[in-house]
Amino acid sequence: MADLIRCRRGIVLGTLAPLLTLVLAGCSGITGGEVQSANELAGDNARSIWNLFVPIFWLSVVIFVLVQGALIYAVIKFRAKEGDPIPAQLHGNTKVEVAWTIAPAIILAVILVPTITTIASLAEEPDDPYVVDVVGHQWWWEFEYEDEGFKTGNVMHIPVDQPVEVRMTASDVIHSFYAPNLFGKQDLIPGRTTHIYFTAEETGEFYGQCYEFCGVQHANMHFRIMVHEQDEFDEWIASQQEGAIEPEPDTIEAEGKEVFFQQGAACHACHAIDGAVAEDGTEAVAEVGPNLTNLGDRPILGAGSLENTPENLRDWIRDPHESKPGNEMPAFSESQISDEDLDALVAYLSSLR
Amino acid sequence: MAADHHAGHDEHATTTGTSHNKLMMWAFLASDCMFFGTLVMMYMVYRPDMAELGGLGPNDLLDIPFSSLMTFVLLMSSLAFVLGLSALQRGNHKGMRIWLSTTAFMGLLFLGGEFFEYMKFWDEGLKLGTNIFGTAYFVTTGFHKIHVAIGVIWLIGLVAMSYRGQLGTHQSEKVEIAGLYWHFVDIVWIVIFTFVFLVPYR
Amino acid sequence: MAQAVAANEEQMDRWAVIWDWITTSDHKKIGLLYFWTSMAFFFVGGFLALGVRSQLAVPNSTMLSPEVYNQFFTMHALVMIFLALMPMSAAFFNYIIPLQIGARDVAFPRLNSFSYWVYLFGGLLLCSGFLFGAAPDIGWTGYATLSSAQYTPGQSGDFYVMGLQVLGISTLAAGLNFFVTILNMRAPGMSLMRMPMFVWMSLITFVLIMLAFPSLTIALFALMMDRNFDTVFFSPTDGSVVMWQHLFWIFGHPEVYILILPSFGIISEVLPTFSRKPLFGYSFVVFSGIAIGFLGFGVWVHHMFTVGLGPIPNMVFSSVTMLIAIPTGVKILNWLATLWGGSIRLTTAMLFAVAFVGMFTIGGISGVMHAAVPIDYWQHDTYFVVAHLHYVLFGGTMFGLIAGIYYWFPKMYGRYMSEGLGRIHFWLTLIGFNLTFFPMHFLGVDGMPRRIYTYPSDYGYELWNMVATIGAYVLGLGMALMVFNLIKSIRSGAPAPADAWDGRTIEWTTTSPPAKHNFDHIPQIRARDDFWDEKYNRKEEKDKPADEHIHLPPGSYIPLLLSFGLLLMGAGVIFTLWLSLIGGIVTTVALFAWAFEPND
Ligand code: HEA
Ligand code: HEA
Ligand code: HEC
Ligand code: CUA
Ligand SMILES: [Cu+2]
Repeated sequence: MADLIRCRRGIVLGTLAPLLTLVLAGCSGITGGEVQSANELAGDNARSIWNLFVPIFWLSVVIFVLVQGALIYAVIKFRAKEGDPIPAQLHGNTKVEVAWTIAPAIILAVILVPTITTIASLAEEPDDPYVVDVVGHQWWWEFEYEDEGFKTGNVMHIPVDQPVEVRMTASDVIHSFYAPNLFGKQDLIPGRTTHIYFTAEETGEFYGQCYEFCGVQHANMHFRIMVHEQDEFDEWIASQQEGAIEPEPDTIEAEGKEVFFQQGAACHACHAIDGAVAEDGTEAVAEVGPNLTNLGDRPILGAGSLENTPENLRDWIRDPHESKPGNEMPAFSESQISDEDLDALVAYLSSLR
Repeated sequence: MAADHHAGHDEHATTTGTSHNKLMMWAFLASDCMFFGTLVMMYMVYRPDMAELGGLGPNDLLDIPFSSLMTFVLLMSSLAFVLGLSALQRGNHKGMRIWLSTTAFMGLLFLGGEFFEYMKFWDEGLKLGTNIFGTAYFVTTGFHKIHVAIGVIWLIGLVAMSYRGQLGTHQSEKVEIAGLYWHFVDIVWIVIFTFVFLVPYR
Repeated sequence: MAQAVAANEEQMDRWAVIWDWITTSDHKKIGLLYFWTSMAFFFVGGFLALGVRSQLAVPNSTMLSPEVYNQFFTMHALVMIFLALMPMSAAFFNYIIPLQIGARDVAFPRLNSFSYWVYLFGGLLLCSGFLFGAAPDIGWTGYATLSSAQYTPGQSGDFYVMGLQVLGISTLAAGLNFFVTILNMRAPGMSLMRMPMFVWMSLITFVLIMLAFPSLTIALFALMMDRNFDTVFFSPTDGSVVMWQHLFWIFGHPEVYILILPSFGIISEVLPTFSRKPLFGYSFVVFSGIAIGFLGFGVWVHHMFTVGLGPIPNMVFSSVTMLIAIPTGVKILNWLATLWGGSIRLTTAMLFAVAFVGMFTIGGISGVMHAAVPIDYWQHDTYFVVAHLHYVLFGGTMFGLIAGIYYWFPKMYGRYMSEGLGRIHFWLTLIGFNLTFFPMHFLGVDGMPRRIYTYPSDYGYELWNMVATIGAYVLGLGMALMVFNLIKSIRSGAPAPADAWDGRTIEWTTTSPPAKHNFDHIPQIRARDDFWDEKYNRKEEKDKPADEHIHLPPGSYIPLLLSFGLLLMGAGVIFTLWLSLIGGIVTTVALFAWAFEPND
């Protein structure tokens, strides 16, 4: 008998625990509020997803409570007791069956209607959106502002309260673009173009990353979205169109710029810096790695594997595989870039905005 | 199908009345149906990309009159098979051997003709990896060819068994099962022929 | 078990016993081979899962390198799905189906042994990737173009392709074999609507296997051709990258029902037995099973909602996916109604069966959330999906299989498993399971992507990852306890009579463990739950049938030879094509031997 009681309490606890946490989760008491949470809303697209989720979530809670409740009740109520007769051998009841075939159907119909309208509204192209082209690479992001004529990497800038179209493809394998606060995800697929339409409703810095498994460094394929007021955004565009900041002659930055082009480093073999020209006339226009024109302005390095500080930049160039094993950029040893040269290079790159 | 001969003497004992071997063949064919269904669906999805392939597309290479002839040969082989089966059921062993050999021969003829086409395409420069037509054409028809080849070996085996006196009239089911397979492979070809050869590429 | 035989027959030496197991075509022995092999692989998969969880316990962990982590989670899924859970179902198909339909064996005993050996060899082939440092690392879904020779050079992709291809042959052979067995070998009087529910759900599973696996075969073949023979099926420029996803999921979604339906069947046996009531709404449960199987072929795009196929396909597939909740709901409610008004004995098997209903409902409901496309734009490839898939696969399939283990163990070994240990095992498992996987919903809300080997420390992922890791170890402890219980009970469990649980179906009429020929007399079936009917309802004496000629096929080593040939052929594609040639010769020889071996 003691055994029996212990068992009962166990069942109640064991099943109630997830139930309670679920309800708590619904009240956002346990989750959310973190940098990349889907329930911290800052975009219309994400908001319509959340608005669809909330009623479905509560419906689910009701179904969950009913089913688990009935289950636990039945197990406790109908426990076998000493000397029980054989229970009635009930084989079924067609009316009941039909009823509980129809009941879920009705619930589902209720879910389906808003689902379908939301699918349609999310797929609708807004009038005159601001277009940013995104290309996914193993394992970094390329953002192209085609009309404005420049590219940047890993950090996307957009204006607030302005419908944006993200037009996406991939150069190698499939990636997926998702910033939970702003919009729902879509995949980037080599050979195809996909779209996301959304309007950012708040200014600020938003987190996102790649959500489709894309190889060794899928985990470190973060990006940031900077949402600006329109005038601030226009300023940013203008500054990007001007190209990279040209260092004053005879400064450490100017030295660093030459290092960027010099034999041992040859960063320009892979990276572009718009408008930067070496003394011998070489330009930095390669597109194997991210465009570095405004590197100093970016909060992250190596698609989020490091925070962008001069020390981290130094470490990154010495050995990118320390923080991001397996990525496509080679390490540069002291024989290729001396310590002094590296200081200069870092100073130069950090000065780019 | 290399299946256990288990039901031989007690066929009546199965629940459905159909022998294990025959039911197995039906089940296998259902599965094979999905197999070819998937292949053909895949071909259909790639089809729109095949219209323009710079001299190495279906419009440039496919020889419909010749393939129609081959199709005809394969269809007639099914007829020959039916005649062979009914000969056996009437106890005419000689007739059965002749008709089944004819069936196998026509199957070989079909394979030969198709092989000839492969060689021709290959010479023109269409390899497996040349373009999506090369890929999808060789793989889709190739799987069919493998099926025909297995059928031919099976038929030859049956004829051999008959010569060795191992295929009595009461064992006509063995031939029947081979027939299910052979007719199925035939029908599959009709589907492939329609979608790969006949429907125009635009 | 093998030892016991040896002790009895002293003239049979050790090698003879081993030879007997290798060449056996007895469905019960093959069932036990399946069972223990799949159990071993389950622990391999569990070990890999613990590796995954240990790595993720803390942020910025460097315990595993990203390459190794990717191998771990990929192999974890492949091992669990193809080498542990499906074969464990197959263990029950083998052991129980012939007993439940009153047959002496399966329709094609040698084909049955062939299926087992191909499974074993295919599993070893797949796992041997670790020995070469080239275990598959592309996710169990192997999406193009990541799986192409360009982005996954070397052998790891080939291990994926050939391992699964070989395993597919095994599954297909077993599926066809049991399909014929169930349709053709039922005892007299057992009409379709009198079949035990486990047999019914298995039958639907076999149809799904027959119809879904060809798509995987073609997908893998095309991938093999792309990787090794320059074709362009999945090339972004000439072919189509998305084609792989279609082919994979046309197989993949029915596959998840292949995994769950046998457990549905087991539950439908366990719940009635321990409620001492018949299954409520038998025909509704049957037809909802058929409906699930049927609809299962029309929903594959729900794994591809974010591919950008357009709003119309997404709407259509969203609707069909939600439809599946109706027949599944019917099942859940019928199980509840089976409990209702019963006389419930909470044995360990019953505890797991009841927990199954609860846990599977959670997983099913989160599935319906995914099916609402816009919500999937959020949840896709986050830990929310990882939570869903483990609630249905572990809380569903695995709980069902564990219930089956406790339920049928007495039949298999003639002894009961320890209920005391069983109870501890149950609570550890239930608590560990929820501790591991429930927090993953929260991680999903917080936007944690799946398949990442590490995460930064300022994203708020620490707490729930730590909880999940602790849960996984609790769960592992629970499962280790089950194995301890199994081994202990084989040695010293309380002896079980033929009718170990006051059962309802005819496997309980024969001795525990059953004799080689299963039944002295093939039973005559007169009702659904025939044995229960015989025990409690029938007045008249059972008429003794006349003596039967019992004929059992002899064992054969040829299936082993044939599967070895296939192994060589598969391995050849990975290493050197010469091996394939040798394998081809072995296979051909074995096929001829098979065709001409006298086996009557
Ligand atoms: C046993 C395996 C199993 C089972 C049974 C299911 C069952 C279901 N699954 Fe799941 N699924 C997986 C295994 C399984 N799934 C796996 C492994 C993946 C991930 C694959 C990968 O990417 O690696 C996946 C992924 C997956 C996705 C893709 C998610 C994504 O990647 O974005 C979706 C989307 O729709 C989905 C939906 C469903 C639905 C609607 C059901 C339904 O069948 C569930 C129906 C059940 C119920 C609903 C509960 C009981 C019903 C009631 C009590 C009645 C009342 C209820 C209502 C009215 C709602 N599943
Ligand atoms: C098929 C069934 C199945 C089962 C049973 C499990 C069981 C478990 N899974 Fe699995 N899992 C999948 C199928 C399954 N999984 C699939 C399909 C994926 C997707 C893969 C992909 O993305 O491609 C996945 C992915 C997956 C992930 C996500 C990885 C990622 O996206 O990066 C995680 C992370 O926690 C995880 C964890 C676990 C754990 C902790 C268990 C536990 O339940 C395991 C419990 C068992 C043991 C722990 C036994 C081991 C015991 C011992 C070794 C004895 C000694 C141990 C002790 C004494 C403690 N799984
Ligand atoms: C072989 C090509 C190659 C060379 C040479 C190369 N890089 Fe890179 N670089 C890359 C790639 C690819 C990435 C993206 C890595 C990632 O995040 O996965 C990258 C990333 C970077 C980043 C981070 C960019 C960002 O947006 O976060 C910096 C900074 C950088 N490189 C600087 C340099 C410097 C300085 C040199 C020369 C000393 C150099 N690179 C040489 C390929 C190269
Ligand atoms: Cu890019 Cu994951
Ligand atoms: Cu699915």
